[in-house]
Amino acid sequence: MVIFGSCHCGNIGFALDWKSQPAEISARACTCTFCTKHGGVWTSCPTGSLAIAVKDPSRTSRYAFGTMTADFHICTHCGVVPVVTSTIDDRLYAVVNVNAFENVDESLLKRSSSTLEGEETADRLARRKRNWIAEVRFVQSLSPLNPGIG
Amino acid sequence: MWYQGSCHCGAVKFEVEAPETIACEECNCSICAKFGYLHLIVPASRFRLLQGESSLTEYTFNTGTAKHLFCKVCGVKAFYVPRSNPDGYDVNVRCLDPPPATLVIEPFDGRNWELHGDKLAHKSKEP
Repeated sequence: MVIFGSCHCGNIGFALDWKSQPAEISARACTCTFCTKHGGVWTSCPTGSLAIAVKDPSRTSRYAFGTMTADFHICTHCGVVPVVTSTIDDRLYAVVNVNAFENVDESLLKRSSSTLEGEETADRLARRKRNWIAEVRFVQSLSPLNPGIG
Repeated sequence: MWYQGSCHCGAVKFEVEAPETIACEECNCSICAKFGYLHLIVPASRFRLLQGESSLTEYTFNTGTAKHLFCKVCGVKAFYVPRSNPDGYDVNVRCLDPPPATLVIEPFDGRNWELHGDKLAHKSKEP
């Protein structure tokens, strides 16, 4: 299954190839200070691959706080944060925002809340290496992956 | 009571008057779903922007009536001017510090705006 998602104006889009048909997709509402205010609900597939396409890089920014080990990719045109990345040992990992999904039925989502407060930085990075999407690349366009995009 | 609120980076700060138990709407329209926005719509007199006007940026689409405002730095959408109530303000309950003691969340079918939009129109009227 390939999951497509984007911010509202379409400047930041992604295609997450799950590589198989998931029985369910975990949708973790993070309780950190940023995700509470941004409504961030995240998922990842450690064996999947993620393509991220940015149409106008000048209309994006990266925001970090706390341990400064994760970059929240903000579309500065519409404000939505579709993707978070973290560089660990020179490798890019990512999670995607379930709220940005375009082609996933709600019934497939297994919703929960996730509190990671107090986690040591080393544990945090180790968890991301285990759980986050480990194959992440930036591409020019998602249209080769999604015939529905013009 | 008056609640304090802010974006994540702290550039934008506001206060809003609302009851101790807040009833809000969770809308399923194209933009609200992307933010998981929780709507507290109030008359203009019950909202005060305390700081950060220059840190706000505006996004519009479709009819252009709603002025979607968010912080340029952290992207957080703490409040905006809604299409249903352009004379009032629509505060994101997610951005209240601290959150309300009791929160009642009602679903709102904004995807079918023409059928439901007018049901919110009274919320910005002064009592």
